[in-house]
Amino acid sequence: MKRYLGLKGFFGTVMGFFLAVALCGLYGWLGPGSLHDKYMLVLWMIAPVWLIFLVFALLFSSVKKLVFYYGMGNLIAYLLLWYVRNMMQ
Amino acid sequence: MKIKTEILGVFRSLHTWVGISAGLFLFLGFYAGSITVFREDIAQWQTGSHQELTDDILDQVPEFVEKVVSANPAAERGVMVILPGGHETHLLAQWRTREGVKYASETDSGEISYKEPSSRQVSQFIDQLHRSAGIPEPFGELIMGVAAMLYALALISGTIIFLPSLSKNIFAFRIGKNLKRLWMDVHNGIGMISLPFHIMFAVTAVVMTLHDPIFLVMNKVIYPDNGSQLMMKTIMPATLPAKTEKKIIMKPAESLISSIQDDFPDFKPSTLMFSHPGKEGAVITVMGDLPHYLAHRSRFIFNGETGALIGSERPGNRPQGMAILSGSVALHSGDYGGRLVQWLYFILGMLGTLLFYSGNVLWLKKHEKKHLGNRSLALKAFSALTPGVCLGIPIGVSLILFVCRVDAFMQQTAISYTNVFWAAVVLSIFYSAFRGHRKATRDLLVIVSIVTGLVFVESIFIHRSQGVWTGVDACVLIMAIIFFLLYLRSKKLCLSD
Repeated sequence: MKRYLGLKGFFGTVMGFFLAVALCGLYGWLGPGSLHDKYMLVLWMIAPVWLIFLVFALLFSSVKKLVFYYGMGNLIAYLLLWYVRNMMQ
Repeated sequence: MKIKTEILGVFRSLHTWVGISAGLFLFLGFYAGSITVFREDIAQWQTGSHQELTDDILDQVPEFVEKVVSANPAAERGVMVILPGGHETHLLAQWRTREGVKYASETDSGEISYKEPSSRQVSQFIDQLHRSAGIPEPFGELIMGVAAMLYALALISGTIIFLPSLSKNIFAFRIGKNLKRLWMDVHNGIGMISLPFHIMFAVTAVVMTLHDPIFLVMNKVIYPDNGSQLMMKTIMPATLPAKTEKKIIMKPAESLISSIQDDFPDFKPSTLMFSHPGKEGAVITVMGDLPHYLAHRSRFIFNGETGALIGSERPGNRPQGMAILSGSVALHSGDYGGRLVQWLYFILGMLGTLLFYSGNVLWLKKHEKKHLGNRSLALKAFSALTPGVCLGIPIGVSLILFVCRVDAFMQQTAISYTNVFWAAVVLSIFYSAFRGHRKATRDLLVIVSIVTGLVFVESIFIHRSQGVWTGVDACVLIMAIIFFLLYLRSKKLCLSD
């Protein structure tokens, strides 16, 4: 688990950030209130969510697994976001 | 509480790495930030004068704006007027040009001065150190942003490492022969007492420093047309009147403010924003505070010609996001509960610096033992940086506090704060490198207590001729005494030989 902490940190930072943006974006579109109402809220939500993903990335047993799960997470989150954006507009 | 040893191992390595790489930046952030809590008091202390906002001053606003705009065509797009009461003693205008932000202020004789005021305000300089570690923009904020991220990781990992022995060690303070134990107790104790405070700082600091890149990505991937409409609506929550070049007479700011105060008697204006001033389509925004709210920042937007309220943002009437923004800024800067909260922030912030210092000391003690007689370059560098930076910064800050009033007294702007501050830090680092960190710690503690004491001595001379004693003077004296006590105790605390 302690191996490749730096690499896990790197993937956790980058992939965790995009995952956080997509999930907070979904909240922005689907959560209560208008899109404008939550615009700044989404900005403030991204940082804590990002940090949580970053910490969890360090607990993966291997870098491969981390990249796979975070990659899948990103793929699903962005597909959903794309779908929701098209539905709501 | 039991946690798998494997997980503890991960967080132990993480805690060490983030602590070592960000600790010294965070020390600067916390030291300068604690002082920044009293920014307005320091501004008044520096000039020895304070000007409350009066109706007479508000009366002068229209003429001041007209003078500034007629002499500076670039200000026609929009000019901001900061009112006296906080930092400023006179009306201060600022506007953007291609070359950067320009300033104009009204002097006692009624003339307009174009000197940049903020560069001479020591409180602003310390605030810049807090925001960007004195590194030029845009890198400074980004670097502090990364440090804030690492700080959040250090908090999470530190708490998890401490959890298994929490019930045994929480609030323990074992003064005895084992000094490493004592330093550990100090580190854990401060970390635990102020954990909620630190979590709030870490999260708000990440957003405050990294908002530009976050905005860039979120606007691209989440929102239609790059979020520009939402951004515009957030910046200006009102439907604006159409702009033409026709000259008009604007409603005086004073009448707009009194119309706000009819509904909100406690409203305290701080800044006025004039866009398209003096012409049809002018808009005047009054920004200020509604006390008794955490998220107290409010703004009221008026049609500049008719004086009709066309939009507002205040407690009870604003988007969720703006309430979070205003509340988070207030929480971060401690300007919501008067003096009590300010002092609490100051004390917890100063204890925070001790958290980073003790972390470094613990790392040094551990590695000195390991590499007895065979000190690596990294260890040497780190043992010079720890006292050099952690005592160089207080020396630098006390020096500029000393210099800033010599300046005001002699009406000169010859001495650069940046040079003085960084010279103090760099010299302290070199001194520690040559003298060895234990001896250097002791010597630098004497120096910082003397320099801080000198600021107080300077106050005695200044107050004999003008000005009044303020809390800042008291604070300076207390800090000088604390540094001196630390020096006297430095042998016992194993800081020095």
